[in-house]
Amino acid sequence: MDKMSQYSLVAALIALGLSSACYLWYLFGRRSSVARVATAGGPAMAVDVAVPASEGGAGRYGTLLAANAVAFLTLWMVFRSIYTGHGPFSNMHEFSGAFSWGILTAYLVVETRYRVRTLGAIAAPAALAMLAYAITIPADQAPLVPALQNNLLLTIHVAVSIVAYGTFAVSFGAALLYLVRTRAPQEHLPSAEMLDEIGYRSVTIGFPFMALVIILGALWADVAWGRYWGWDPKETASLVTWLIYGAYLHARTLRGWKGDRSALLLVAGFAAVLFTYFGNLFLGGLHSYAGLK
Amino acid sequence: MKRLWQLLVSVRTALVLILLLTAGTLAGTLIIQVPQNIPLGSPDHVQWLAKVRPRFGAWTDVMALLDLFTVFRSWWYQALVLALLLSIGACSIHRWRVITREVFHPPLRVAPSLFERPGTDAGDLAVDARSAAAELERALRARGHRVIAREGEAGTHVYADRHRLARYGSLIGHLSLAILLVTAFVGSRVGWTDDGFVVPEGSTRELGLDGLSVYVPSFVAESYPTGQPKDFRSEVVLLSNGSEVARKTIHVNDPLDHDGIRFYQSFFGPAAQLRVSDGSGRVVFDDAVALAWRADGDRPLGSLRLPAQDVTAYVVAPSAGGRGDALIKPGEMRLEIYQGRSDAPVRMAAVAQGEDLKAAGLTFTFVREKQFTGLRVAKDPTVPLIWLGSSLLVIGVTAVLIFPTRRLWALVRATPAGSRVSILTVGRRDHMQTEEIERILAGLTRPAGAQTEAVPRRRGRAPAPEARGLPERGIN
Repeated sequence: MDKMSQYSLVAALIALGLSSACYLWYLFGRRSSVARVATAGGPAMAVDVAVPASEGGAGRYGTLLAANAVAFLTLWMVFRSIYTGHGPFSNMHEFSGAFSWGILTAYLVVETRYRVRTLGAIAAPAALAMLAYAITIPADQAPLVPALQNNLLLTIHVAVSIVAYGTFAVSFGAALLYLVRTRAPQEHLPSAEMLDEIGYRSVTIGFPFMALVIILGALWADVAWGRYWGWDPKETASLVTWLIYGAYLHARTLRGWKGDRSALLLVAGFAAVLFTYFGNLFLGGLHSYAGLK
Repeated sequence: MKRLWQLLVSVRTALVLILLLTAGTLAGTLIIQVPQNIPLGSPDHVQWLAKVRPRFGAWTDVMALLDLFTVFRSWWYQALVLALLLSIGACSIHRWRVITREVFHPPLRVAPSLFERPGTDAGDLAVDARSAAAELERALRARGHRVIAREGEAGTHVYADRHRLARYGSLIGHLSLAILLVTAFVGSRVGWTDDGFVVPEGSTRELGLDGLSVYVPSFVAESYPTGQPKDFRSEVVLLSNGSEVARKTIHVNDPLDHDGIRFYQSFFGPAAQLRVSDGSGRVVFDDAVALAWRADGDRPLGSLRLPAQDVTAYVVAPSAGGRGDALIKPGEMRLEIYQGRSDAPVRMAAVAQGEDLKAAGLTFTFVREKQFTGLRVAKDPTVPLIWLGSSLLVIGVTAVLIFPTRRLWALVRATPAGSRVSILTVGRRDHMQTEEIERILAGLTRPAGAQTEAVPRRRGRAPAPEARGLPERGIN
C-alpha cells in the first residue's frame, strides 16, 4: 500500500507539472499571438486570431492533465489512508498533498462552471508548489500523539479545512488576475466582472467551511483539553483568516471598497491562510505536532 | 443619538471594526503573549516581562503599556469586541423589518416601464400571452422557484423567488456571533477551572469544589517504541464525603463528566512516596508527593508541609531525562528540610529508595518512586450555548452564502406576433443567474408538445463572453 501511494503521488506530480506547463502556455502563448497579430493586421484582426486552435488545445490538455492529477491524488489519499489507518491528514506531508488536491478540485469546479481556463495558470502551479512541498518533507508515518487520536474529529476537522483552503486559493488566483486585468487591459483574460464573481463565489463556499473548521477545532479542543478556545496561536491565526474574509464579504458591498480593495483583501486572506497553514512550524503552541521540528 | 444609530447600522462601520479586530488578533498571534493562566499584574506577570526583555529591549515597556503582550485581555480589544456587538445588534434590528418585508410581502409587480430598461432579458414567443405565462410559471417552478402571477393591465405580472428564507441567514449568522461572544464572556465569569490539579498515583486530593475529592488508583503513560507518547490514562474515582460517586479511566480525548464538572487528562510527572515518623516512631505522614514544579537544572520539585511540626520538606528528583545529573543520581531523591521560618535548611541530602534521612527530630523515608497525573478540571455550564451559537453560525452563513435568495419579476405581454416575456432582477446579477435566466427564456422556445418559437435576446449587455470563447471588451 505504501508503494502504491508513492507511485500515485509521483504520477500526480508529473501530471500536475505538465498541466501547469499547459495552462501557462495557454495564458502566455495566447498573449504573444495577440501581440503578433496586432502589429501585423491591426486590432480588429487580433480578436479573431487570438485563440489559435493549437493554444486552445494547450488549455484543454491542461484541464485533462489537472483532472488526471486530481484522480491520482485521490488514489494517493485512499492508499495512504489504508496504509496508515486514518485519514491522510495527520502530518504536514499528508496535509500538503490534500491541500494540493483541494486547490485543484476547487479550481476544476470553477473552470467547469465558468469556462475560464486562464485561472489555471495560477491554480495549477499553486497546487504544484504544494505537492512539491509535500514530497520534499518526510512522509514517515509517525505514530499519532494522544491528542490526535480522535479519528472522526481529525478527519472532519482537516477535510473541511481542505475545502476552505482550496476555495480560498482559487479566490486568490481570481483576485490576482483581477488586479492584472484592471491595470493593463488584457484581451485574453476573463472580464474583470467575471473574475470578481469567481473570487466572490469561491469565498461564499470557503467562508462557511472556514467557520466550520474553527468550530470543529473548538469542539475538539473542548474534548481534548477542556476548553473550547484558548487563544492558541493556531486558533488566533485561523480567526484572523476568517475575519479577513468576513471583512471582504462586507467590503464587496460597499462603494469605494468594491473592486481593487476587495481583491487586495482576497490576497491578504490567502496570505493569512498560508500563515495559518505554515504557522505551526514557527508559532509553537498546541498544534506543533506537524511531524517537523 | 440619531447619528450614533446611523453609525452603528452602517456596513462601513462594521467593516472598519472587523479590520481593526483583525489587526489586533494578528498582533496577538505574531507577538508572544503572556500565558492565559498568569493573572495580569501578578508577580508571575512581572517575571514573564523580565524574561522577554532581552528580546524586545527598551520596547518591552512600550509594548506592555499598549497591552501588546496581553492583547486578548486588553481593554482596547474588549472595547472593539463590544463595539462589534453593538454594531451587530443595531444592524440586526435595522435589517429585520426590511428582510421580513422582502420575504413575506414582496412587491408582486413592478412598473411595466422598468421592463424597457437596459439589462432586461426578453424573449418573443409565437404563442398567446396566456400560454406563455403558463409556460414561464412551469419553467420557474421546475427550477425551484415559488411563483406568484397576477393579471394586470399591461399583461401578466409574475413574481418568483427561491431560497427566500435564506435571507434570514445573514441575521442568524450575525446574531449567532453575538450569542457566542456573550456566552464566552459569561462563561469566563461563572465558569470554574483548575488547570493543574495534581494527584499522585494511589493518592486522594481534595478538589475544592462541591466537597469533592479525587482518588487516582492508577496512572499509565504508554510510549511507542520510538519513544513518542502513545497514550496517557488515569483511573479517576470521584469521592463525595468519602463515598464513590463516579469512576472512569480517562484519556486525552476522553474526559470524565460528572454533573457538568469535567476531568481532563492534561499532563503527568514523577512523584515520590514518603513516610515521615517522629521520635516515638509514630507515622505522621505517609503519602506521595507530586513533583509538579521545576527546580534549577530542570529538576522536578515538590514540597510537603507538616504544620504540627512546623516543618517543610522539598523533594527534588534528578533532572528530567536523568542523564548526567551531578547532584542527584538516578533513582535518588534529594530532600531539603526546613524548620520554622528559617531560609537555611536544617538538612539536605540525596537518599536512595528505602533510605532514611533524620532531620528536625523526624525520620524521612523515601519509600519509592511513583508518578502523578495532572488533570484539568473545568465546570462551565455555558458550553452548550457555545455549540448552539456555533450551529446557528454555520446554518446562517451557509444559507446566505451557499443558497442565496434569488428573486425575479417578469411581465408577459401580448404582441402582434404572439407574446413577449421580459424578466427583471434587482441588484448585481451574477453569471450563474444570468445563465439561468437565459436558459429559462431559451427553454420557453421548445416546451414539450407546443409549436412555439422564441428568440431570446438581451438588451444592454453582451452575453457572457468567455462562455462563447470570445474575449470580452469594454466592461472596465
